Amino acid sequence: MSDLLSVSGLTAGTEDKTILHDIDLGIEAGKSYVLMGPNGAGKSTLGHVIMGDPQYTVTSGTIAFEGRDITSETPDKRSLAGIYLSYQAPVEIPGVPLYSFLRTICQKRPELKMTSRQFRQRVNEVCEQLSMSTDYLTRDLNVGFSGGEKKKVEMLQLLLLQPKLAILDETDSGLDVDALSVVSRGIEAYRSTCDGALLIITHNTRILERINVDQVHVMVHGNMVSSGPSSLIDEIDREGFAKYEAMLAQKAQGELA
Amino acid sequence: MEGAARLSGVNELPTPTWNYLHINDVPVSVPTGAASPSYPPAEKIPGGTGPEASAWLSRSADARESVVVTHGQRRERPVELTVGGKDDARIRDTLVTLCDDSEADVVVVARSDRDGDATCGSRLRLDLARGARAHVHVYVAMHDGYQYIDDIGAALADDASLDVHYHLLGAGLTVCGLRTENVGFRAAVDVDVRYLCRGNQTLDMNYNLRLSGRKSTADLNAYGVLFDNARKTLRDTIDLVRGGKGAQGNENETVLLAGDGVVNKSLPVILCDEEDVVGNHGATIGSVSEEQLQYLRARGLDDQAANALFARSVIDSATSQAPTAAARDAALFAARRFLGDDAVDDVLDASGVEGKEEA
Ligand SMILES: Nc1ncnc2c1ncn2[C@@H]1O[C@H](COP(=O)(O)OP(=O)(O)OP(=O)(O)O)[C@@H](O)[C@H]1O
Ligand SMILES: [Mg+2]
Repeated sequence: MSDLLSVSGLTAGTEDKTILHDIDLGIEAGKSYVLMGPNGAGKSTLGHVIMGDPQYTVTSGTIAFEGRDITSETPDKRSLAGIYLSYQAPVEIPGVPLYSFLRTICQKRPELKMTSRQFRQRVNEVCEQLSMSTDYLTRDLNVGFSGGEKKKVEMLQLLLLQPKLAILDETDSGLDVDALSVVSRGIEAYRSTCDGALLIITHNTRILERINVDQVHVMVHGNMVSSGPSSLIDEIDREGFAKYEAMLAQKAQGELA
Repeated sequence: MEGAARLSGVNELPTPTWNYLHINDVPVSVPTGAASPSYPPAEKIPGGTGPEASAWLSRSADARESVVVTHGQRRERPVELTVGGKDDARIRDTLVTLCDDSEADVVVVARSDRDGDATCGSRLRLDLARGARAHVHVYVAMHDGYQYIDDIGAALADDASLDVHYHLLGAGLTVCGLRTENVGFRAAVDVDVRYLCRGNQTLDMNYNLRLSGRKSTADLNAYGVLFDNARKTLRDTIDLVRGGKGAQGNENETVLLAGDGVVNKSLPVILCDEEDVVGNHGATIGSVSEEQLQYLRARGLDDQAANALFARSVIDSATSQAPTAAARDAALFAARRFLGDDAVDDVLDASGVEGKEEA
């Protein structure tokens, strides 16, 4: 019961469709988890439901963070409590320069209190760490950024905010080899500086090479069907999800009988 | 003795619409001498606010200037046109002529030292020869007693380019008009508008971009926040005139309504007289989307904090893009009014400009 995040019996979806079925998931502080599953399995949806995205409704079950039930808490409060979701498809916001955005989200957090000068330095450091030109800072948030640049902006925020839990939804997809190693070094830096917990959603084993994975979860058709040690990653990489789809079918039959 | 006269047809739409929308033009009354404004002769390069307002500015100007940038020259210092401050002119009338392949920055700043009830203005004509490049910045940050009329007209020869960056940060009444004419082959017009409007301020804009050259392009992006009882009208017309084969126009507006009493009117129009216009000649207007707000919430900003971010963003971009000290001072004046005194240092650091103490 020392879980940082504990999802239990979670069923959720849009108004006309249930996407997640009776999901259980526990995340301990400082540990790393990988969530795998075929396209459309519901991985991103789970991330967004944990974050409190109002486009999804929770019909049963609970989400608790640090022992507190947050199932009906607003997303901004969840964020301030220390949950971070790196978007698979980051949003463009015309009119809002990246720097103004970064400064504002950090100013909302008393634990990150810094003078404007210190903040400027910190941002410059992190940009360098991510091999990102500081020219991006005066451009509007994600507007006209390439796919890879948008992912780096998500990493930039992760490193500035230092959340207790980071859910990285395909932060590695669309990155070239160099960007991939920059991002995986960024993830390492996050882990080592604030001992944050990670839930990595990915289709790509490469990003995991530098990370010590504690547990792997497999999701199929909105169901959590299996979990195991990091060796599952290579197995899935070789054999795909057929076995897990069969497991789900069997389970469904068992329930019918 | 100064009386008052009502100017008609100010910021008039190129194609008037049903009058019940009250969007065809804006009523402006200005101080005048004995003579009442008579209908002016047609101009070689017309301005966006319309003939009457433009003639009034020209007649009332207390500073006149003609600047020529010679062939191939890149003018080092910007042409600085400042009005409204203690030692500034009240109304300026300026012609900037850019010869072939020359380049220049023009910075218009409207400011005030203390509240008053003056009308200030700038009438600016830009004549761009082949391959010339002009970068125009307009900063308006005045006390509420002021009204300010900004009138720009530009002609662009082949391969010329004009970009205009507006930072409209408040005056009792701000009237802005821009018109481009005779836009040549491959000429490009780029207009970026950022504004904040609060209290009982009124902001009235009329952008009329006429593209006649083949492969000419026009891009207009407007972004702003309205607070309290602010009133804003944006008319943007891109006119793809016959003969302009392959011309492209684009209009985009995002406005955030952050007050219960705001009045927001937008009329984006794309007129198309030429069939062979390529690409996206689309117009979109919209407020901040639910998806965008959700992204901000997921990063810890509730909707009130999001509004503050949108306002701050306009100020930050005004500061970081300020090409002159006067422009930066205008941005900081607006920072104090919209964000409070404490925000000023922060805004300075955001712009990458070193703050005050260099100890
Ligand atoms: N807002 C929504 N409205 C309707 N359907 C949705 C919505 N969000 C998700 N879905 C559907 O729910 C299912 C799960 O989608 P989700 O994006 O969570 O999958 P995923 O596991 O992240 O897939 P991928 O690996 O392709 O990113 C899909 O069938 C998707 O179409
Ligand atoms: Mg996904």
